[in-house]
Amino acid sequence: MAPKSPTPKSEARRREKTGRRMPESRVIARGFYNRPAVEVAPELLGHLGEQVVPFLGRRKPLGELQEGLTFRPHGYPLAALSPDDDLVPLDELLARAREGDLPAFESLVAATREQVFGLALRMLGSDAEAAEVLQETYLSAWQSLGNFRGDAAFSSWVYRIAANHCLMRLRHRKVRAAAEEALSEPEFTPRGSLAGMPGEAWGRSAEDDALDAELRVAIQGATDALPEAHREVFLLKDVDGLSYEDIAGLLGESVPAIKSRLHRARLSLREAIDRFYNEKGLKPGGQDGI
Amino acid sequence: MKTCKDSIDVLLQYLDGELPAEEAAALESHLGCCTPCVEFLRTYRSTSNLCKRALAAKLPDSVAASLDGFLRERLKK
Repeated sequence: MAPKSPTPKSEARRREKTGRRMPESRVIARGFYNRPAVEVAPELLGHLGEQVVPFLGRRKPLGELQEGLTFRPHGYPLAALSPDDDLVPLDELLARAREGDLPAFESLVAATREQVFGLALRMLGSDAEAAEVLQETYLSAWQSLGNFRGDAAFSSWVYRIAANHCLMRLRHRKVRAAAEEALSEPEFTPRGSLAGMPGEAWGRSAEDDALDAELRVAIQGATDALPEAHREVFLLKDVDGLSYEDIAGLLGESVPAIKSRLHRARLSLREAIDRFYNEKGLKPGGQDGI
Repeated sequence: MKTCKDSIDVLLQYLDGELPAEEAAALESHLGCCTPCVEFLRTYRSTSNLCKRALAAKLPDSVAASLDGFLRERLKK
């Protein structure tokens, strides 16, 4: 697919505000609010990407560019930028890092550290521990770069390392702080029909709306309350995007067992969200949107 | 004829595109005449995306700076 450029009008407005001109050759995709934008120039797939956060001018690392990335409106994703601002293919960065080039490794770290931190924070529920895992992960990655064969994305490889560090910590915890609740499931009549219709049609537009602050809390609580084995699978698959095979390998379980846990976790969380909308009588996109 | 329970049991496989064609056709046939299940499928599918957004975490600048310092100190040795 051909890369899209900003419209002349929006580019003129942006230039007026910032006094700078966006290097159009590097604009590879634009998206609408919470809509997927998949127009990544083929020659840039597999490069590290950054996104210019609108109005702030900050650059946020996106990780490896691949189809299916989602961008905020007018957030300009850029191809990988090395310290000297040149486009550097991921393979080259990896090769340099393997030879001990610290700046090249730091570029790889910069592109993935936000996601690694998020994964660790969700798994462990502690900022301090997540920060420690972040350091352990990249130290392990640096020490193991020679073993990285490059047949998987660098980001996936690093996420697996981070997930492994988190799982080791979780295994060492004797007692989980939060009490675990039983998994919720939909109710059926004796004939196998759904006992009730969802009260609010939240699936219709909830994904497009700003998240209700109370819903965010309800989801956090419901996720924390999942049995550990289900919570791990749900977070690693649905939130952090690891493959079934990777998760099965990390947990020492079969892929069907992982899928079964994922399904039950999704059902339980769906029930919690459904309960939230029914109890609050809220429709998606209500007050307190974030 | 599938029941709602049968249908919900295979939603994950269906959405992953891993349900055998015959079973997928039976599920779609049930969905064609069961509004609660259509709504259930829609909310089941939305659950992951909603959770992903609700659980998004931001890397604090201080943690990023600590990581940079840690790596420079440890990796230059």
